[in-house]
Amino acid sequence: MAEVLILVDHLDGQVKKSTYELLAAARPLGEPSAVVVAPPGTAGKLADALTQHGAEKIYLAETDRTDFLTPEVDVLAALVESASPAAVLIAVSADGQEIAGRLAVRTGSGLLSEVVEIGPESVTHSAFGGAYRVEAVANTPHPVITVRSGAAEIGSGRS
Amino acid sequence: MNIVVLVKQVPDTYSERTLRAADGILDRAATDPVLDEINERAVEAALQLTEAHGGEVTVVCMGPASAADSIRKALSMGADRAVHLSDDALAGSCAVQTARALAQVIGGLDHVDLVLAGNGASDGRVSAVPAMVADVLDLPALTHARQITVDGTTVTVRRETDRGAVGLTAELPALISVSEKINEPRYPSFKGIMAAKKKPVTQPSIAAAGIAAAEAGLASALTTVTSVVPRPPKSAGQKLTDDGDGGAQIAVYLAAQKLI
Repeated sequence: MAEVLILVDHLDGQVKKSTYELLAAARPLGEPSAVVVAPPGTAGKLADALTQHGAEKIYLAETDRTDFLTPEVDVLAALVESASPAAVLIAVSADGQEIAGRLAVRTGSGLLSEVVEIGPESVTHSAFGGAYRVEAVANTPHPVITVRSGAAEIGSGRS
Repeated sequence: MNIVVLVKQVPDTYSERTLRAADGILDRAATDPVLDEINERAVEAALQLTEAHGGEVTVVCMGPASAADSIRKALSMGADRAVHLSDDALAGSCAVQTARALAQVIGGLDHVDLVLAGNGASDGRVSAVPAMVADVLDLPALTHARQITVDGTTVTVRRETDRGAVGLTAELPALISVSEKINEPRYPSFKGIMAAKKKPVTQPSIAAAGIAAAEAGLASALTTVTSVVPRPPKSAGQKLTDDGDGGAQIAVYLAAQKLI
């Protein structure tokens, strides 16, 4: 089964809850692989929590680069090239939207933004403050999908 | 310093915004189009910078012919000229196509020191196109700025998001997207409105802008909307009759909904 890359959102050595939702939301598309981009010496500590919440594989990229958000884009772009994932999932936030957009334009991937539900064939958006439910598909390999909180129940590993 | 400001025409958020059922594209004819408010702030920021440091402001807009009104508004505020990329072949472009097309237009302009944009339009909610344009042009992206300082060839912004505030510094050329806290945009003066009528607006075809027809528009978009369903109307709630046990009935109902 193909793998799905999930960018791990973390702050002060803690994985954010949105990441656990993504690990569960990825299941219709493939096996979740967590991607951690963090300063040296900090990434490894997150691994146990990620495995417990269903990550089948973890990529750790430790960097002391200070260029803003660019290390995340570079690491994900390299993994899109080498791992040919079924999709890349990123939690919705100001930073997440920006990383996702840059990754999509750099890798020629369809960008599906602020998704509320992920299905095996398509994703669902909510448009104009919930006035419409819009289903969409990507026409490219490895679409980049940003996911709103609440898109999936947090799981505790293999289901 | 020469500044490019990216602007977008959007449906007025006060008007009813509808999506065409056939292809999921915004029904522009059914809405009141306006210059997105965040773009007025980007224009204002550009004007303040050129007033302090010299240089000219060029407005770049991708959108249908009706977007000319929004461009004219930016010119009446004080921008010097505009490029309106308005080829029918672009209709239905996805975010990636849009970013590439805008980058192509900016790349064709001479001596751009700074690209300014709003941090997110009020209609699409992707809020990533400015950073995407920067990535294509290999410019540093300083996004969600509420304050901009230029010192020689160094630009510093204060970036504020729901995650907190951070200072970002880069060497020009660079791209900055502004948040709604950046400034209060000026109203066009009568003189500005008259002057705007004579300011140059070029309308390159996609071929002239260097965009391949095979990569433009809905047919080659990287994403496709497959269905659009309006929200179902709200159904009536459940009525409880108070026969002296109304409080208990409400408690039972709320408990069944797992609210208490």
